[in-house]
Amino acid sequence: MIEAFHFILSLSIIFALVIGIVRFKNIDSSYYPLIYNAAFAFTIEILVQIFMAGGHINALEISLNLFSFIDFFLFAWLFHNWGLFSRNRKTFIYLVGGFFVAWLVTIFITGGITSPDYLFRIIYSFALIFFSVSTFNKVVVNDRGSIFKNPKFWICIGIIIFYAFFILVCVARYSLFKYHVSRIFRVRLQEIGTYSNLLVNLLYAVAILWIPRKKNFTTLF
Amino acid sequence: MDTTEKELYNSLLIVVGVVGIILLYFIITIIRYQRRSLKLHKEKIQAEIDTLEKERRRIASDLHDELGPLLSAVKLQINSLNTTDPSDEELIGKSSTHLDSIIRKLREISNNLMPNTLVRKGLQKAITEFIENNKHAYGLEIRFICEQDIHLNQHKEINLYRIIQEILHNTVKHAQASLLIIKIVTEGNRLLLMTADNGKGFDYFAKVKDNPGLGLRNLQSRAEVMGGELTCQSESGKGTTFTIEIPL
Repeated sequence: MIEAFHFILSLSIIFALVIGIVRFKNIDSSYYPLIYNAAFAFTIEILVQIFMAGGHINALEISLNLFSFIDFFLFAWLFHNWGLFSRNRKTFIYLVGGFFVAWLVTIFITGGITSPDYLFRIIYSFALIFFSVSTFNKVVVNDRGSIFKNPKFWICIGIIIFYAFFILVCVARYSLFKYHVSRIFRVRLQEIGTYSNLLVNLLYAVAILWIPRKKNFTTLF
Repeated sequence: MDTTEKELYNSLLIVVGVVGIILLYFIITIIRYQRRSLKLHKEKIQAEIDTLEKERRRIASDLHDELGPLLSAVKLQINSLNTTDPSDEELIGKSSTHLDSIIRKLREISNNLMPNTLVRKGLQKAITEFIENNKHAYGLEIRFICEQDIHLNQHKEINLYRIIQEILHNTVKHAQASLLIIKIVTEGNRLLLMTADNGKGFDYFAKVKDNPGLGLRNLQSRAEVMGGELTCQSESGKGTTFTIEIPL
């Protein structure tokens, strides 16, 4: 029952996704990775539920491990679009390449793609928090309008909050699960992630609402 | 959950709570400082622009009202000289012509500093006049499109006029363009000023990162004090487009 409730809460990403789809053609294209991410997150939530219900633990772990890298890639792309890596395509490619290697290595270390790769999840969460803090500082220093209407502000806050708690949950799981903790403990631990996920999904929805419209640069000629 | 798990879970919840409180405090503090610094920044820019405009107005008025009549009087006096010597007549003629050009140049400078048309007839007429005056001077075709009546307060009109002046000067100086289009439209409660040239373009982000230059900074500051937003799109060989969006 409680797991069904968690599943419903995890689907709250649909708000961000629907707003994103409705506004897709009119928004600044640099924000597209966020919409793609919302679509991936929504798909993965459903897949996880299906795999769990069917008892396909391997498929579940594979999809979660793949999503970890996709999640990192899409957010890194978003930050690249915002000029975090000096708008240098090479730096972005090297960074993604480096994290891909890290993903492969951590998968190998943690026992293959069918085992939960908490190590990579912790590493990429730290990276995303650092990217967000840098962007957040940039927004605070350079933004001359209302900061509440700046989607970058909401997205960065969402990432910082969600991934900070995600690290805590992952560290707890990584260090405790080898001791065969009870099912109810796992569910309770999952709750922390679920509520921070709900908060961040709502923040993304607000952020997508504030994404500026595309500038029409071609009307004059 | 057994007792150990309960204790562990409670400790974890405390950690989550502490992290949450720190994050919340961090975010609230940053927002407060950002708002305070934003207010100070806007006041500073507004004061700078006000001082600049006041000084321009004073210099324009001094040139037009004091030096202008004085030079006209000198010209009158020179022309009233009575001489039969042809070399003196030639000298008087030359001096008179020089005085005419000085008076004309003085009017131009005075008008550039604070256009009378802008003060008396408003933004649209002032831009049209400015474009007419500059059309042939630089070998650049300038098209001005404004199909609606624009009514703004004088501060905004002056700022928009200066922005257009700056963009035109930048286009002439750097863009090597043959066409510049300036368009003003109002959409709901916002005004859009868009300019586009077909010049050589530049890497906006590299320029801003290296040294944005006084011109670009001026554009940014004037857009900011109007509560607006400046967007620039430019690529090598693809011209430059500026969009300034200001609330009405």
